[in-house]
Amino acid sequence: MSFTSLTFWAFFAVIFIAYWLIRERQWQNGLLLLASYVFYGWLTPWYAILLGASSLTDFYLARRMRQYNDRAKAYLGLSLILNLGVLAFFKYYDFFNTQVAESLTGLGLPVDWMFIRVFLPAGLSFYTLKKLAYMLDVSRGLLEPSDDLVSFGLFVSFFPQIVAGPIDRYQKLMPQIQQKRAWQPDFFYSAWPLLVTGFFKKIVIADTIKSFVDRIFALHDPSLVLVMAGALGFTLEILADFSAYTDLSRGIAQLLGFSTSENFNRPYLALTPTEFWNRWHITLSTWLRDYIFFPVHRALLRRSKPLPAWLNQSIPPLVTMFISGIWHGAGLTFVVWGIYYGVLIAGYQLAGLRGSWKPVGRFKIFFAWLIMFAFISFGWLIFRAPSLSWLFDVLLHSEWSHGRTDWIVAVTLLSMTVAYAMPLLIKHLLDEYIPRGFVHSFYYAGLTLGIVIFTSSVTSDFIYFQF
Amino acid sequence: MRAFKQYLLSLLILTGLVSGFVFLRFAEGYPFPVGPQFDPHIRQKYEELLDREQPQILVLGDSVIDTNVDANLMASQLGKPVSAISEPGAGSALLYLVLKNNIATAESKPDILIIVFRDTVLTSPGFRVHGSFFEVMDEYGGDEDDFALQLAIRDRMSPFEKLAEAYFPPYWGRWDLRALIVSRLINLPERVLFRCSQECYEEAMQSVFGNQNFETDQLNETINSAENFLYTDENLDFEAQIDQSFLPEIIRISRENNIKLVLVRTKILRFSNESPEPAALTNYMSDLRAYAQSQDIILIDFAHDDRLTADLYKDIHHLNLDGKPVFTQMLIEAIESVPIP
Repeated sequence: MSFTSLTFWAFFAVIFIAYWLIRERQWQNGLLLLASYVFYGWLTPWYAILLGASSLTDFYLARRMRQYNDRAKAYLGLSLILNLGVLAFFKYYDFFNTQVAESLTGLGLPVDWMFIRVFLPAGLSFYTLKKLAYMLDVSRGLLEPSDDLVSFGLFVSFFPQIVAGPIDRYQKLMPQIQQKRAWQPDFFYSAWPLLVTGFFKKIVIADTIKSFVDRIFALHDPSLVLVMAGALGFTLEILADFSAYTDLSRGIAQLLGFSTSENFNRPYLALTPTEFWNRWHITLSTWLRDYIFFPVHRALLRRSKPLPAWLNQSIPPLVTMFISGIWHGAGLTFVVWGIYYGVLIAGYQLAGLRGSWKPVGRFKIFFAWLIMFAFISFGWLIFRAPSLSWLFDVLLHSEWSHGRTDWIVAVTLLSMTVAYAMPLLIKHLLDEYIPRGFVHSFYYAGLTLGIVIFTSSVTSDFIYFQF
Repeated sequence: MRAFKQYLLSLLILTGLVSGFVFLRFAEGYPFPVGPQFDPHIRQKYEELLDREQPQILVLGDSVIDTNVDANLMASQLGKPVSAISEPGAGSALLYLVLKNNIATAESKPDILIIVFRDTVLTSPGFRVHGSFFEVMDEYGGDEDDFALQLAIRDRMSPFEKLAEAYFPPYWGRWDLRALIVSRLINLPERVLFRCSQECYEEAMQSVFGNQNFETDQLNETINSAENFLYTDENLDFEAQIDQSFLPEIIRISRENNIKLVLVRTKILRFSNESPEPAALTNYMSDLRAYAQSQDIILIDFAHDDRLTADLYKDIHHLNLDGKPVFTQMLIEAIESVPIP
């Protein structure tokens, strides 16, 4: 069920009414848990069984970890193996299977038996990170393991978040799950701007740009000018698409009385790669920081034979971003995209340009922004490229343009990108310079009419579902 | 609370303004007609073709006809005049309109009409009926084709959508408003920079995004995802679909015009060892076969024919130059035994 489908809103209306009529916290949680499993297993019930089994396993392993301190590491190890094993199997089976099948075919061996396709259950990457954070925090003594299976199950499967985050931590969500919740009009007043913005970004911006961008990245020999326009279009598309999902997710959670994390804070205004990752997919970035970056950094500092300072600075971002890359998908483009950001972060840091760096003077700020924005767009080009060989072919062998028609199409996509980015830019200016009031309300009314005008009976899935 | 009231007030004002604009610029009455309407003019391109070529056998379908069927080879081997009509992207609604308003109205009607289709196309009336596909439908549909609009478009709309179309001006006028935004805002730079008209823009799009320019894998993926519509539970349910599809009308019109109808299911590469044909599609095909038999229609199924190997395809639907004669030969062999009425 997609948040932009009528089916979802019919489903949500039923849950919403029943949820607020119940009033009793335990029953409310029970209903939300049931709703989350129905939502998650809507198309493939088998996914809900996997979710249930893995939640149950971690619930008991965490409790065992606390009960038997001497065997805590073994339980943690088992949880890591199970979680990462399941994630790796579903995420990379097809990729490696194809590679192995191609090699065997080359050797003349039969490969028919290998063609069993394994589909990645939507949201597996997201809820696995939620559970891993919980298990690691319990093992470090930062958390008491949950003794309430329903609440824990709801924390893992909470339907507004399960498919594409935000990856909220146990510490943020569980206190809300365990507190009494009664309907307050403020829930609605906080939710509606998020819902309007989310629908607008998805229906008007992301889906419109997508149709154009997809075609450019499907060409076998696009000119550089087309690819540049495509990369800029995708830069807007992925922000609009993913932040739309987060807005809708947060709005829906608000309507149920939950406050969930922001995932985006004007990422394209970043001046450094570190700042970009502090603003982009924030809940994933903080997860990677806390459970990959810091531990790697600490391990390097604790080495009996210390490494040179530049290596101590470079290895943690490289490792972290490499893992971020493979988390995003099975494919060499994701690996290269991750390493690209690792190198960028390390490079900026070695040059003394840390996350909070900001030059003095408007011209220098603009220049620093322009360079970073170019890096970001190039990063999205790597990310969106259909394959690494396609990307190298384009970058190394393509002509600037195949003629006037390429320029016409590129200029059209660029003007589309600028036109559809305008509402986001206006929102930024309003938030920055105009006090809350009628102008803001008028802006949301404009977005609502935009949704009506751009509504189509067919809405595509959110990009981040596939991760 | 205050902000929400301001929002509602703003929405009311904006809706009023946009509605006024829609009335002034696009509307001809109220309530609005639900769904798009056909222009009264009907293009007679294929009627003229039939009267000119006077074929005994006519092959009709989408772009697959162009890549898979060699009409000249068929004509020379069958010893009968053969013509082919290939309408790229045609769904059953367009095939119906071409049959009703061009083939059935021609002076020289064919004796045999071969409709080449894939999987559930013939009973999925809502397949390829929006946007640019509607523009092509409009060329072959006229004032008296409300039935086609009903089946292809209005029956697919929810009651809520129908209500919004009829009574809410911004929703009814959304296609025109979007076109206006695109032409005034988005196409402005290329008009100014390249002095490029709408026609020149469309030519540029066609030149850059012609099928020949796409990566095969990417093209296949795009085709596959666009075709998912044909494999929804709803469209795979033959019994539920048949009475609300164009197929009974296609059969009726053919019969009334003494045209022997032959349905040919092509082979596509959507399904393979990796992801075999779903059981629902197999059931659908056996229902279609039984239906064709009951209607005295010939149904030829090439979907699992081993002669069409993967190397004969240029993408998952279309054959390459080596594949064209193979398919044509298969079609000839299958048609040879069909008696001409």
